[in-house]
Amino acid sequence: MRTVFLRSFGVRFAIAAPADVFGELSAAFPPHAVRSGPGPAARRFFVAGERTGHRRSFSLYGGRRLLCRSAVLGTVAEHLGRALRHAVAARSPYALFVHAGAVGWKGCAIVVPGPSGAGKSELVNALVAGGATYYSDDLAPLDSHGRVFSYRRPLRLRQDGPGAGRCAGTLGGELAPPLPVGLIVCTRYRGDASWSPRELSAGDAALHLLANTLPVRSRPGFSLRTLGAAARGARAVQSERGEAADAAREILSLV
Amino acid sequence: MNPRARNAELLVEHVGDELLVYDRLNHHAHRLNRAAGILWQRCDGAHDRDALAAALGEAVGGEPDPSVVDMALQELSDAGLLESAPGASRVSRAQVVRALKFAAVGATLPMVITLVAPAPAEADSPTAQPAKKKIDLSGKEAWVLGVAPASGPGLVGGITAFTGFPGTTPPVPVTVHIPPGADIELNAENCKNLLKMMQDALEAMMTGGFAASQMQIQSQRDAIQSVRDQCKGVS
Repeated sequence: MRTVFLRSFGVRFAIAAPADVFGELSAAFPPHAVRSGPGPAARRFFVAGERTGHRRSFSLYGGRRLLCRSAVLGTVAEHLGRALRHAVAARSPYALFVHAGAVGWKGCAIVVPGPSGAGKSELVNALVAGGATYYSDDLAPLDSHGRVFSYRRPLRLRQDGPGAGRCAGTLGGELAPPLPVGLIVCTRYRGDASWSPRELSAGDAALHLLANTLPVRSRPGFSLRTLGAAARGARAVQSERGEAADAAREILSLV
Repeated sequence: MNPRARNAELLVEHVGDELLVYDRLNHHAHRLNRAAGILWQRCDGAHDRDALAAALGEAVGGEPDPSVVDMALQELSDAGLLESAPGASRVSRAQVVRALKFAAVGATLPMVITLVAPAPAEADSPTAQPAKKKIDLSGKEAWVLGVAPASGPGLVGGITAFTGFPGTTPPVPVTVHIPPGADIELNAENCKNLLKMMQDALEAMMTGGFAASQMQIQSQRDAIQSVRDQCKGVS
């Protein structure tokens, strides 16, 4: 059994798991997580491996609660990743996590708020294919000035080779500089829709962001100030979209 | 009684010329456009309806119109942003717009837009749509044994409003704890699938395929009974 302490956006957590499965689990660590020494942790996760004959299964616990059990380690890793990302998002003392895709473009961030499954990843991919820099496809952290940090999903680590022993985040892309929000795009996919944007006010844009902000109930003051700062200097548009590539071209031309 | 703005338990942020107001009591967030913000901030108990109309007309341009003030005060009151509610008869937005008959009405009419701030589970939900009626599993420890499909994050065993489960590639059998705030619409298909997945998980718990304490097994039984009760008569 091996225990690793990590820190991400000011949140410390501990993960204990059989040493031979850590390589696969590390792919689930939050972006930009860094190792920290043993000590108190905001959340503790534990992966237990059990053998029945030739079959091995894995159970994931968050604290004392059983979160998931599967014979497929990848499934457990996915659940662990989700739990870790949300533990960070809910507890980070200095970043506000919004469900949004984000890319960098011409020195500012284009932010696409929306819940999981709204098609953010597809649109972010299309924006990146159009020349933008990938920042996030699901959760976008904002600092108190309303600037967007990169939050790229980590690369998978191998057990051996140059990456062994390092946390995934340090390999998953260097921390790109935070960018001010230049454009907020409120959109959703509809097969037969064509891109026809209407301008939103800054207040409207802030409200769209708020509807997708994870810790808004627990930290409403910080949320309001941060979202206000993000929306104040940004242009905001709303439209349904059809194909992501078509919408991406139009969106990039707005900045 | 002259209208008076409520201050207690409200957080206010100026965004451009609009106001974002967060109500800590009920977790509602309100956007007040410029006209509504001006009006709300003048509601100090000293200004009556006519004085508010004059102040609004001066601030946004145009003729003072008490019916606009009546409508705005009703919207502010409905949003819970006034301590003392207006006593005038209700005026709908449509009535006011019809009466005003000028093109720039959208920009000068006070407007309050309200949303309920997402609870953590909702903000995370892949299918955060309001369901008509939900299967209530709050306060219960329960598990399901199902199949997470290759596509459609959040789906397990065909239940489309299950929060907290990522999709997997390829589809794999998985036993999962039903997360707090699981958003499962009460319908016949979900009842059938959920009960089967919960029964399968119970069987795995009883036969040792899924390590569980006696307390967890009993909790699972209770949860199954609760779902059965809720699903009675659902077609």
